[in-house]
Amino acid sequence: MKINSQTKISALIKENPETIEAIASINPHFNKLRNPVLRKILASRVTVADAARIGKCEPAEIFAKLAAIGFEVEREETGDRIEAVSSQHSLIQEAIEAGRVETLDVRPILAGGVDPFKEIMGVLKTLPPGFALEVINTFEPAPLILILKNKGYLSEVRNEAGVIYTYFLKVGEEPVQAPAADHFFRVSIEELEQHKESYRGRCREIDVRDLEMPLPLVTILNELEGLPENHALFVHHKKTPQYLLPELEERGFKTWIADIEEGNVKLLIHR
Amino acid sequence: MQGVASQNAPSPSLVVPHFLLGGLTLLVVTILIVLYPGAFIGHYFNPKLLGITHLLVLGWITMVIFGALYQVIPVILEVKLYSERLGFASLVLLVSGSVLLAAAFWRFELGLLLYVAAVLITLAVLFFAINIFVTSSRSAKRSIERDLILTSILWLLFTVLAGGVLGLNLTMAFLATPHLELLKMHAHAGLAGWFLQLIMGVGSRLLPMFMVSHGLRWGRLRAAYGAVNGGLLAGVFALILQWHSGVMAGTLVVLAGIVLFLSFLWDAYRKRVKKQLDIGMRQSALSFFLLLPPLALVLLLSLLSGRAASFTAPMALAYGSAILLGFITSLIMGQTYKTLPFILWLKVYRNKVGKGKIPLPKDLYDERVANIQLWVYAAGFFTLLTGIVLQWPRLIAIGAALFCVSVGFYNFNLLKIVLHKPVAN
Repeated sequence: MKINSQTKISALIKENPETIEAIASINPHFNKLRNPVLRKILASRVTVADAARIGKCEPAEIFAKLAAIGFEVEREETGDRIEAVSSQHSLIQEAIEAGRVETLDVRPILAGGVDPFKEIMGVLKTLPPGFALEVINTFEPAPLILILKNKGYLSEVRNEAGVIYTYFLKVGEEPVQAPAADHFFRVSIEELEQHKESYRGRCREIDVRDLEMPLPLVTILNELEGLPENHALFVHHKKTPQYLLPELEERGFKTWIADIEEGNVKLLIHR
Repeated sequence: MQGVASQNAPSPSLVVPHFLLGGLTLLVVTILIVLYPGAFIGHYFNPKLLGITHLLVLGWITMVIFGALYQVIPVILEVKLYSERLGFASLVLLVSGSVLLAAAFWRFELGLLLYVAAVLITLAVLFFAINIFVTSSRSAKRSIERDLILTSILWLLFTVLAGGVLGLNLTMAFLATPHLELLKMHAHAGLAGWFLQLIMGVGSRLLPMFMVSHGLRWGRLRAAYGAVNGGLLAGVFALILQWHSGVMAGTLVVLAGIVLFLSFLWDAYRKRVKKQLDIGMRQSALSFFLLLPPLALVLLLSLLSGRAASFTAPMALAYGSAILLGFITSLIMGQTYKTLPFILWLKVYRNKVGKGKIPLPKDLYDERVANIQLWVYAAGFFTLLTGIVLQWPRLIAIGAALFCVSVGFYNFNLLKIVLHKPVAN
């Protein structure tokens, strides 16, 4: 089976149950994979890349173990490793500072072999508006963050000496427009130039500032469809292209955006 | 590094009905004028004209503006619209409120029917305002367009509340200032504070974008913002106090603001990269020429204030009609061709771009029909206006009939755009 950083852990386990021991042997963070309850919660929603982040190791370590038990690792572009930053939400910060926080330590629940999901949801229901829930755990509850995001919760993860504090705050009924941390990056022009430099000789450049909409969108997408692998597209634009971004995300592109001044925005787009 | 939300555009199912219902309302309005041209004869304070005017400003102009803003606000502020559900609620309230209000004036039922209509419209506007203000509070993006749009919504709220108070005053007569003077305040809060200022906010973003103009003179637009609002505020207070030179001064300051805005647009027009104007932009350009006569008329009318109504009434009628049926209607019809096809095109073709041959937004409507619409409109509008000035009902009816045919073509293209099916490769 061919695998990459986006392969789900559950798919690996289904293909070869030895996966559990192979990954668990990397470091103690992965011990929870041996627990059937936790495995059920996590494995179906977590990819290799997520697992590396939760277990605080390099994806390469996991790939090495998996290759050893017969998985075929696909070559992936090794660009700059992009850190998934947990965004700092000022609303959550405010709630914490004002003492509007309820705490739930799920470590004893997990130790008892029970999924704390129901307990967490129960506490969230009774939480007064404006209050944040602090969940104390030993790992980042990635699936929970995703589920709650779709129910209108902001979240923030803090790591203090190996104990993970995750905060949830309800801000609406509809899914939270979470910053798509792994698709779009607002950077300074210096950072953008630096990043462009890493594509030296493999970078196309276009200027769409003199085109009427929707031609900028059409031109950029046409260019991207014809872009050779491992190449990037550098775009001179008048603004952050609001209608283009969702399409870029859907087509799996990463976009670096530098806002220079009114009417002058640079974009670097690559896979 | 800062996050960027990706999908900010609202669902077309919220935006598109505003255009369709607006087009339908305009058609009804022109038919009403054909059938009752007498509404434009004599003094403007008559039941039929009050009914027609409110149907026009709420059911057509405000309706399309609401829909367009749901689309434009997320682009200008780079955030998602706060709530589409609130938008739908506002739409339902606006439709029912406009129809009931027009009926109440038409039949001059100044009791319960008028109150119910007023409450529905106030709620529609309140829901809309909450939606836009909460949305904007979530955006850090600051711009003069944002200020213009938000301030225009404050004037809309003021206009609607003032209208409600005037409605009560019709039966209870509790206000000290003469009713018709306060009606002027209500009308101009709506015309200049809401419509004109909103056009300044949205137009200063869209028109240079469609013409592809760089290096705009934003200073002129900021000065225009100050002048329009300062002049209006002064004018409103002066009207309430019945201080005529104050009203005159306020009018002049607002006019100066409009001139500043026009010079901002003229500068953008001269700097345009796209030399050839398409049909949507040609009709928009025409609308700005249509703005010039009413600007001259309002100046004349404020100089003549105090003269016999038999002398000024046709001018006042021509002034209001030229702004609403001329400038604003023509601009909306023109801009519809620039915005609505794009919205539908995006929905149908966004994920097909770059993967084969696809049409462009301008291929979604029939350009010949749009051209005929423009010329029939121009003929109809000028005939109508001449009929009003000469106080000749038959000419008014002929003008309205041509106008109605033009709106029929407009509605044909609206439907063609909305019902567009993807073209197979």
